[in-house]
Amino acid sequence: MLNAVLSLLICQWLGVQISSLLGLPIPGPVVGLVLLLVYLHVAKGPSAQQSQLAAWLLRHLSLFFVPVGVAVMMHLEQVGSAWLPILASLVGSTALTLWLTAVLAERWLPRQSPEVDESD
Amino acid sequence: MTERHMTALFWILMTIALYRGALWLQRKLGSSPIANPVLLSMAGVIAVIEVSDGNYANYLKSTEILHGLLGTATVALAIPLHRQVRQFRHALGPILFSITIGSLCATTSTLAFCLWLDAPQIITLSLAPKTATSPVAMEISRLLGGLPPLTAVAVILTGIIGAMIGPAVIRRAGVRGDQAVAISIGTAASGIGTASVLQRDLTMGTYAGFAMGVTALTTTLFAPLLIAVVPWL
Repeated sequence: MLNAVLSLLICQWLGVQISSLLGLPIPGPVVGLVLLLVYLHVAKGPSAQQSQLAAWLLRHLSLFFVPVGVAVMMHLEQVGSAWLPILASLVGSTALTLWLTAVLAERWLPRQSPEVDESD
Repeated sequence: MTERHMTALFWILMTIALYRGALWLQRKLGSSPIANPVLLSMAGVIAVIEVSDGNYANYLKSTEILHGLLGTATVALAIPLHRQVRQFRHALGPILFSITIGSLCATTSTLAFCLWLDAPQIITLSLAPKTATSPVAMEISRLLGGLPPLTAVAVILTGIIGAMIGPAVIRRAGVRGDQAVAISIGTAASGIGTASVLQRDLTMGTYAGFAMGVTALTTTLFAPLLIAVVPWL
Protein backbone atom coordinates (compact mmCIF):
# COMPACT_ATOMS: atom_id res chain seq x y z
CA MET A 1 0.00 0.00 0.00
CA LEU A 2 2.96 2.28 0.73
CA ASN A 3 4.05 2.27 -2.93
CA ALA A 4 0.57 3.26 -4.02
CA VAL A 5 0.48 6.12 -1.50
CA LEU A 6 3.92 7.26 -2.66
CA SER A 7 2.96 7.20 -6.34
CA LEU A 8 -0.11 9.37 -5.74
CA LEU A 9 1.77 11.84 -3.52
CA ILE A 10 4.65 12.10 -6.00
CA CYS A 11 2.23 12.89 -8.84
CA GLN A 12 0.40 15.42 -6.66
CA TRP A 13 3.64 17.11 -5.58
CA LEU A 14 5.08 17.21 -9.11
CA GLY A 15 1.76 18.50 -10.44
CA VAL A 16 1.64 21.35 -7.96
CA GLN A 17 5.31 22.22 -8.60
CA ILE A 18 4.91 22.18 -12.40
CA SER A 19 1.71 24.22 -12.26
CA SER A 20 3.24 26.92 -10.07
CA LEU A 21 6.69 27.00 -11.73
CA LEU A 22 5.17 27.43 -15.19
CA GLY A 23 2.41 29.69 -13.88
CA LEU A 24 -0.21 27.48 -15.52
CA PRO A 25 -3.89 28.41 -15.10
CA ILE A 26 -4.43 24.66 -14.43
CA PRO A 27 -4.71 23.37 -10.83
CA GLY A 28 -1.68 21.40 -9.62
CA PRO A 29 -3.66 18.26 -8.70
CA VAL A 30 -5.11 18.16 -12.24
CA VAL A 31 -1.57 18.29 -13.67
CA GLY A 32 -0.82 15.44 -11.23
CA LEU A 33 -3.82 13.52 -12.59
CA VAL A 34 -2.48 13.87 -16.13
CA LEU A 35 1.01 12.77 -14.97
CA LEU A 36 -0.49 9.66 -13.38
CA LEU A 37 -2.46 8.94 -16.59
CA VAL A 38 0.79 9.10 -18.56
CA TYR A 39 2.47 6.81 -16.04
CA LEU A 40 -0.42 4.32 -16.20
CA HIS A 41 -0.21 4.32 -19.98
CA VAL A 42 3.51 3.55 -19.87
CA ALA A 43 3.16 1.00 -17.04
CA LYS A 44 0.22 -0.65 -18.84
CA GLY A 45 -2.23 -0.14 -16.01
CA PRO A 46 -2.32 0.39 -12.24
CA SER A 47 -1.10 -2.07 -9.63
CA ALA A 48 -3.70 -3.82 -7.48
CA GLN A 49 -2.70 -1.58 -4.57
CA GLN A 50 -3.10 1.57 -6.64
CA SER A 51 -6.58 0.50 -7.72
CA GLN A 52 -7.55 -0.26 -4.13
CA LEU A 53 -6.24 3.02 -2.78
CA ALA A 54 -7.90 5.03 -5.55
CA ALA A 55 -11.21 3.25 -4.98
CA TRP A 56 -11.05 4.05 -1.27
CA LEU A 57 -10.12 7.71 -1.77
CA LEU A 58 -12.78 8.25 -4.41
CA ARG A 59 -15.50 6.49 -2.45
CA HIS A 60 -15.01 9.00 0.33
CA LEU A 61 -14.23 11.96 -1.89
CA SER A 62 -17.17 13.91 -0.52
CA LEU A 63 -15.84 13.74 3.05
CA PHE A 64 -12.75 15.68 1.98
CA PHE A 65 -14.68 18.71 0.83
CA VAL A 66 -16.97 19.06 3.84
CA PRO A 67 -14.55 21.55 5.52
CA VAL A 68 -14.28 23.81 2.47
CA GLY A 69 -18.02 23.69 1.98
CA VAL A 70 -18.58 24.75 5.58
CA ALA A 71 -16.46 27.84 4.88
CA VAL A 72 -19.32 29.13 2.73
CA MET A 73 -20.64 30.49 6.06
CA MET A 74 -17.77 33.00 5.98
CA HIS A 75 -19.19 34.48 2.77
CA LEU A 76 -22.86 34.33 3.68
CA GLU A 77 -23.58 37.98 2.91
CA GLN A 78 -22.04 37.92 -0.57
CA VAL A 79 -23.69 34.62 -1.48
CA GLY A 80 -27.05 35.38 0.13
CA SER A 81 -27.53 38.64 -1.74
CA ALA A 82 -27.03 36.84 -5.08
CA TRP A 83 -29.09 33.72 -4.41
CA LEU A 84 -31.46 34.29 -7.33
CA PRO A 85 -28.85 34.56 -10.13
CA ILE A 86 -26.96 31.65 -8.50
CA LEU A 87 -29.96 29.33 -8.43
CA ALA A 88 -31.25 30.39 -11.85
CA SER A 89 -27.90 29.88 -13.57
CA LEU A 90 -27.41 26.49 -11.89
CA VAL A 91 -30.82 25.21 -13.00
CA GLY A 92 -30.67 26.84 -16.44
CA SER A 93 -27.20 25.74 -17.41
CA THR A 94 -27.67 22.22 -15.99
CA ALA A 95 -30.89 21.70 -17.99
CA LEU A 96 -29.26 23.03 -21.17
CA THR A 97 -26.16 20.84 -20.72
CA LEU A 98 -28.22 17.70 -20.02
CA TRP A 99 -30.29 18.32 -23.14
CA LEU A 100 -27.40 19.10 -25.51
CA THR A 101 -25.11 16.28 -24.31
CA ALA A 102 -27.89 13.69 -24.51
CA VAL A 103 -28.86 14.74 -28.05
CA LEU A 104 -25.22 14.73 -29.24
CA ALA A 105 -24.41 11.37 -27.62
CA GLU A 106 -27.58 9.78 -29.03
CA ARG A 107 -26.70 11.00 -32.53
CA TRP A 108 -22.98 10.15 -32.48
CA LEU A 109 -22.67 6.93 -30.50
CA PRO A 110 -22.64 3.65 -32.42
CA ARG A 111 -26.02 1.92 -32.36
CA GLN A 112 -25.09 -1.59 -31.23
CA SER A 113 -24.43 -2.04 -27.54
CA PRO A 114 -20.70 -2.65 -27.06
CA GLU A 115 -19.18 -5.66 -25.40
CA VAL A 116 -18.12 -4.57 -21.94
CA ASP A 117 -14.75 -5.01 -20.37
CA GLU A 118 -13.09 -7.45 -22.70
CA SER A 119 -9.58 -6.92 -21.38
CA ASP A 120 -9.71 -5.96 -17.75
CA MET B 1 -0.51 16.64 22.89
CA THR B 2 -0.75 20.41 22.59
CA GLU B 3 -4.06 22.20 22.76
CA ARG B 4 -3.91 23.01 19.05
CA HIS B 5 -3.57 19.31 18.25
CA MET B 6 -6.47 18.48 20.53
CA THR B 7 -8.63 21.05 18.75
CA ALA B 8 -7.65 19.64 15.36
CA LEU B 9 -8.36 16.11 16.53
CA PHE B 10 -11.77 17.16 17.83
CA TRP B 11 -12.86 18.82 14.58
CA ILE B 12 -11.53 16.04 12.33
CA LEU B 13 -13.30 13.50 14.51
CA MET B 14 -16.50 15.56 14.46
CA THR B 15 -16.40 15.95 10.66
CA ILE B 16 -15.87 12.23 10.00
CA ALA B 17 -18.50 11.22 12.58
CA LEU B 18 -21.10 13.59 11.12
CA TYR B 19 -20.27 12.39 7.61
CA ARG B 20 -20.70 8.81 8.76
CA GLY B 21 -24.05 9.72 10.29
CA ALA B 22 -25.10 11.52 7.10
CA LEU B 23 -24.29 8.42 5.01
CA TRP B 24 -26.44 6.34 7.34
CA LEU B 25 -29.30 8.85 7.13
CA GLN B 26 -29.10 8.93 3.32
CA ARG B 27 -29.44 5.16 3.17
CA LYS B 28 -32.42 5.33 5.55
CA LEU B 29 -34.05 7.87 3.23
CA GLY B 30 -33.76 5.58 0.21
CA SER B 31 -30.61 7.20 -1.26
CA SER B 32 -32.52 10.21 -2.56
CA PRO B 33 -30.23 12.85 -4.17
CA ILE B 34 -31.80 15.52 -1.93
CA ALA B 35 -30.51 13.74 1.20
CA ASN B 36 -26.98 14.51 0.04
CA PRO B 37 -24.43 13.37 2.65
CA VAL B 38 -22.15 16.36 2.02
CA LEU B 39 -24.93 18.91 2.51
CA LEU B 40 -26.18 17.01 5.56
CA SER B 41 -22.75 16.78 7.18
CA MET B 42 -22.00 20.42 6.32
CA ALA B 43 -25.22 21.42 8.06
CA GLY B 44 -24.21 19.28 11.06
CA VAL B 45 -20.74 20.81 11.28
CA ILE B 46 -22.16 24.34 10.94
CA ALA B 47 -24.59 23.61 13.77
CA VAL B 48 -21.79 22.34 16.04
CA ILE B 49 -19.57 25.35 15.24
CA GLU B 50 -22.45 27.75 15.90
CA VAL B 51 -23.23 26.29 19.33
CA SER B 52 -19.53 26.15 20.31
CA ASP B 53 -17.40 29.20 19.43
CA GLY B 54 -18.62 30.22 15.94
CA ASN B 55 -15.00 30.31 14.80
CA TYR B 56 -15.01 29.08 11.18
CA ALA B 57 -11.40 30.07 10.51
CA ASN B 58 -10.31 27.86 13.40
CA TYR B 59 -12.39 24.94 12.06
CA LEU B 60 -10.81 25.31 8.60
CA LYS B 61 -7.31 25.39 10.04
CA SER B 62 -8.04 22.33 12.20
CA THR B 63 -9.28 20.23 9.27
CA GLU B 64 -6.57 21.23 6.79
CA ILE B 65 -5.44 17.63 6.42
CA LEU B 66 -8.82 16.57 4.99
CA HIS B 67 -8.53 19.36 2.48
CA GLY B 68 -5.03 18.20 1.52
CA LEU B 69 -6.35 14.72 0.79
CA LEU B 70 -8.74 16.29 -1.70
CA GLY B 71 -5.77 16.98 -4.00
CA THR B 72 -4.60 13.38 -3.60
CA ALA B 73 -8.08 12.11 -4.44
CA THR B 74 -8.05 14.30 -7.56
CA VAL B 75 -4.85 12.61 -8.71
CA ALA B 76 -6.47 9.23 -8.00
CA LEU B 77 -9.19 10.03 -10.57
CA ALA B 78 -6.58 9.01 -13.17
CA ILE B 79 -7.00 5.33 -12.26
CA PRO B 80 -10.67 4.85 -13.21
CA LEU B 81 -10.16 7.25 -16.12
CA HIS B 82 -7.35 5.10 -17.51
CA ARG B 83 -9.50 1.97 -17.24
CA GLN B 84 -12.46 3.65 -18.91
CA VAL B 85 -10.40 4.97 -21.84
CA ARG B 86 -9.49 1.34 -22.62
CA GLN B 87 -13.02 0.12 -22.05
CA PHE B 88 -14.60 2.71 -24.36
CA ARG B 89 -12.00 2.65 -27.12
CA HIS B 90 -14.60 1.24 -29.57
CA ALA B 91 -16.39 4.59 -29.49
CA LEU B 92 -13.93 6.97 -27.87
CA GLY B 93 -14.24 9.70 -30.53
CA PRO B 94 -18.03 10.14 -30.38
CA ILE B 95 -18.09 9.85 -26.58
CA LEU B 96 -15.32 12.44 -26.11
CA PHE B 97 -16.96 14.71 -28.67
CA SER B 98 -20.32 14.69 -26.86
CA ILE B 99 -18.75 15.27 -23.45
CA THR B 100 -16.47 18.06 -24.69
CA ILE B 101 -19.25 19.99 -26.41
CA GLY B 102 -21.53 19.35 -23.42
CA SER B 103 -19.05 20.71 -20.91
CA LEU B 104 -18.28 23.70 -23.15
CA CYS B 105 -22.02 24.38 -23.16
CA ALA B 106 -22.11 24.08 -19.36
CA THR B 107 -19.43 26.73 -18.77
CA THR B 108 -20.65 29.05 -21.54
CA SER B 109 -24.28 28.93 -20.43
CA THR B 110 -23.34 29.48 -16.77
CA LEU B 111 -21.40 32.61 -17.76
CA ALA B 112 -24.28 33.75 -19.99
CA PHE B 113 -26.88 33.29 -17.25
CA CYS B 114 -24.69 35.13 -14.72
CA LEU B 115 -24.16 38.06 -17.08
CA TRP B 116 -27.82 38.18 -18.01
CA LEU B 117 -28.94 38.12 -14.37
CA ASP B 118 -26.31 40.66 -13.38
CA ALA B 119 -24.52 38.44 -10.84
CA PRO B 120 -21.55 40.08 -9.07
CA GLN B 121 -18.23 39.22 -10.73
CA ILE B 122 -16.98 37.11 -7.84
CA ILE B 123 -20.15 34.98 -7.99
CA THR B 124 -19.75 34.49 -11.75
CA LEU B 125 -16.12 33.40 -11.31
CA SER B 126 -17.16 30.98 -8.56
CA LEU B 127 -19.93 29.40 -10.64
CA ALA B 128 -17.99 29.14 -13.93
CA PRO B 129 -16.28 25.80 -13.11
CA LYS B 130 -19.30 24.24 -11.33
CA THR B 131 -19.71 21.38 -13.82
CA ALA B 132 -16.30 19.92 -12.93
CA THR B 133 -16.15 17.51 -9.99
CA SER B 134 -15.83 19.43 -6.66
CA PRO B 135 -12.08 19.14 -5.93
CA VAL B 136 -11.17 20.26 -9.44
CA ALA B 137 -13.87 22.94 -9.56
CA MET B 138 -12.70 24.44 -6.27
CA GLU B 139 -9.10 24.69 -7.47
CA ILE B 140 -10.20 26.30 -10.75
CA SER B 141 -12.33 28.74 -8.76
CA ARG B 142 -9.37 29.65 -6.56
CA LEU B 143 -7.15 30.26 -9.62
CA LEU B 144 -9.86 32.42 -11.25
CA GLY B 145 -10.27 34.52 -8.11
CA GLY B 146 -13.66 33.10 -7.10
CA LEU B 147 -14.85 31.77 -3.74
CA PRO B 148 -13.98 28.03 -3.54
CA PRO B 149 -16.56 27.35 -0.77
CA LEU B 150 -19.35 28.76 -2.95
CA THR B 151 -18.04 26.65 -5.83
CA ALA B 152 -18.19 23.52 -3.67
CA VAL B 153 -21.80 24.23 -2.76
CA ALA B 154 -22.62 25.07 -6.40
CA VAL B 155 -21.17 21.74 -7.58
CA ILE B 156 -23.26 19.83 -5.04
CA LEU B 157 -26.44 21.74 -5.94
CA THR B 158 -25.73 21.19 -9.64
CA GLY B 159 -25.40 17.47 -8.95
CA ILE B 160 -28.68 17.35 -7.03
CA ILE B 161 -30.52 19.38 -9.68
CA GLY B 162 -29.06 17.27 -12.49
CA ALA B 163 -29.89 13.97 -10.80
CA MET B 164 -33.45 15.15 -10.17
CA ILE B 165 -34.38 16.79 -13.50
CA GLY B 166 -31.98 14.75 -15.70
CA PRO B 167 -34.23 11.83 -16.65
CA ALA B 168 -37.17 14.14 -17.46
CA VAL B 169 -35.13 16.63 -19.51
CA ILE B 170 -33.47 13.83 -21.47
CA ARG B 171 -36.78 12.10 -22.18
CA ARG B 172 -38.17 15.39 -23.40
CA ALA B 173 -35.18 15.72 -25.76
CA GLY B 174 -36.37 12.46 -27.35
CA VAL B 175 -33.28 10.55 -26.27
CA ARG B 176 -33.80 6.90 -25.25
CA GLY B 177 -30.35 5.27 -25.44
CA ASP B 178 -29.02 4.23 -22.02
CA GLN B 179 -25.46 5.27 -22.89
CA ALA B 180 -26.53 8.74 -24.05
CA VAL B 181 -28.53 9.20 -20.83
CA ALA B 182 -25.56 8.15 -18.67
CA ILE B 183 -23.09 10.36 -20.55
CA SER B 184 -25.42 13.33 -20.35
CA ILE B 185 -26.00 13.02 -16.60
CA GLY B 186 -22.29 12.36 -15.89
CA THR B 187 -21.32 15.47 -17.87
CA ALA B 188 -23.94 17.83 -16.43
CA ALA B 189 -24.18 16.56 -12.85
CA SER B 190 -20.68 15.14 -12.05
CA GLY B 191 -20.40 13.06 -8.86
CA ILE B 192 -23.96 13.11 -7.57
CA GLY B 193 -25.31 12.52 -11.08
CA THR B 194 -22.92 9.61 -11.56
CA ALA B 195 -23.99 8.12 -8.24
CA SER B 196 -27.64 8.32 -9.29
CA VAL B 197 -26.86 6.47 -12.54
CA LEU B 198 -24.73 3.88 -10.70
CA GLN B 199 -27.67 3.06 -8.43
CA ARG B 200 -29.66 1.87 -11.42
CA ASP B 201 -27.00 0.18 -13.55
CA LEU B 202 -23.31 -0.55 -12.97
CA THR B 203 -22.25 -0.47 -16.64
CA MET B 204 -24.07 2.79 -17.27
CA GLY B 205 -22.40 4.12 -14.14
CA THR B 206 -19.00 3.69 -15.81
CA TYR B 207 -20.20 5.79 -18.75
CA ALA B 208 -21.34 8.50 -16.34
CA GLY B 209 -18.07 8.26 -14.38
CA PHE B 210 -16.05 8.60 -17.56
CA ALA B 211 -18.10 11.66 -18.54
CA MET B 212 -17.45 13.14 -15.08
CA GLY B 213 -13.66 12.61 -15.38
CA VAL B 214 -13.43 14.04 -18.88
CA THR B 215 -15.60 17.01 -17.92
CA ALA B 216 -13.21 17.80 -15.07
CA LEU B 217 -10.36 18.01 -17.59
CA THR B 218 -12.22 19.98 -20.28
CA THR B 219 -13.65 22.44 -17.73
CA THR B 220 -10.11 23.05 -16.44
CA LEU B 221 -9.23 24.21 -19.95
CA PHE B 222 -12.47 25.96 -20.91
CA ALA B 223 -13.23 27.98 -17.78
CA PRO B 224 -10.04 30.13 -17.72
CA LEU B 225 -10.09 30.38 -21.53
CA LEU B 226 -13.69 31.61 -21.72
CA ILE B 227 -13.16 34.06 -18.89
CA ALA B 228 -10.07 35.41 -20.64
CA VAL B 229 -11.90 35.98 -23.92
CA VAL B 230 -15.07 37.51 -22.43
CA PRO B 231 -13.93 41.13 -22.18
CA TRP B 232 -16.65 42.42 -19.84
CA LEU B 233 -15.84 39.97 -17.05
